[in-house]
Amino acid sequence: MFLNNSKDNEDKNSWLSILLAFILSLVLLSLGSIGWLADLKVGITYMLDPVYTTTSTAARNIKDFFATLINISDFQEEYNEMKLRISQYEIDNLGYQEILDENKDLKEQLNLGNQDYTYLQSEVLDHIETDYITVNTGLRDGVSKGDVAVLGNSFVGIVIDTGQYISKVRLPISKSNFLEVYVRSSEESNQRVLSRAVVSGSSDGIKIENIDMNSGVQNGDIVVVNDSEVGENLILGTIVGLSKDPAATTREGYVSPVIDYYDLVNIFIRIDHAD
Amino acid sequence: MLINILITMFGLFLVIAFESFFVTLISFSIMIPVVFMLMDKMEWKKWLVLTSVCTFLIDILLHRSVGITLLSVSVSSSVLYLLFLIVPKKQLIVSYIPYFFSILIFYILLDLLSPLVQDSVWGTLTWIGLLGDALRSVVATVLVSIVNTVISNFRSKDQFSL
Repeated sequence: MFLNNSKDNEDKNSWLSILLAFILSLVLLSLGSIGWLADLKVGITYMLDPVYTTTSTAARNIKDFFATLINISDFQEEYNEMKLRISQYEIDNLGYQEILDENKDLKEQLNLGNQDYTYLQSEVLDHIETDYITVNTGLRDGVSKGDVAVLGNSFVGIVIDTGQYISKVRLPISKSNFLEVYVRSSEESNQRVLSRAVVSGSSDGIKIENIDMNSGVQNGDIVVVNDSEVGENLILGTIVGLSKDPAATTREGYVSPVIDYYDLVNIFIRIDHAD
Repeated sequence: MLINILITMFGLFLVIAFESFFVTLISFSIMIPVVFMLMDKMEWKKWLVLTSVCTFLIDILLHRSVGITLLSVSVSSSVLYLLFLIVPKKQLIVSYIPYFFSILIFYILLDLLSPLVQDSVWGTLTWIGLLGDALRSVVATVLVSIVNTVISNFRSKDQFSL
């Protein structure tokens, strides 16, 4: 019944089915853009997100296995180096533990803990194209569209879509990403703000523009996000490839991210105004 | 009838699960060769319903804008239809060239349109990306040809029914 061979009818009607599929796709896109499918999507993600999580985890495990197999000789060398380093770190760790305890006590004393936000640990599931990542937290965990993804004090991206169990995060390298930033001097002794600027994604990397010509910004200076959508004081990266056109009124360059987005395993979703 | 519906639902689930698996693994879409294979083996109304439901669920599963996969499928299907007006269907190698180009167009459209609908910015096409799309298209075309060969050897086309 489902696989019958009525070839004459097919030839007559296959064009019609393609046309109808085209029209239906436009209708779905229109309904999606005005948000009429949002509730339906949430319902379906209850069923499909576990399928996605299971299959993508299996696929990532296979991918990691083959990547390991290809690079096994490198890993062997790295393993030997790391054995030596671990011994050194164990010694250092004792000293750091003491500093950590001191830091904790000082924070409590000065009440520096940031109580406006709750941070939700999320595992990176996959990279979609080059501009997005998916993580294993969603509406059920309290993540909503517009939440900010961070790692430490570094900016990772903005949540642009949420399912029940999964969220999609747009990385700064995306061409749709526009952020206001300020540039801070990298010198230890002089960490003042040098200039305001705007960053946007491009196919060549994260582009930074509108840097004041006379601000004294140099390659290696630190780019800090200061955007109404994101908040303040999240580090994006350092400036590289700064333009040197003396006729221009502003300078531009690229930002070398402080994080390698393709090696991320865990990130934190900052949930605003957590109850 | 009931068994047919259950088999269809199970098949749909399998396609969705494999789509998610292969897209994560190598960005390969198993759905597009399946849709093209079913195109001339199925009644057009059922093909339309099955393709629409399948692409709708895949869009939600992979967090694409709903309708974008169906749009890409419909455009690539129309390219396939048009190419088959000039390419003979019965020849072994030549008849699969339209499949290759249609599947390649599907991947290119998905790369270009997905960011456009979601963020109002055209997707980026690079030579490496295009090479990857072409390789995936070759694999999908080989898959279509193998399945077609198996089916034609399994039973004659006139008797093909389930």
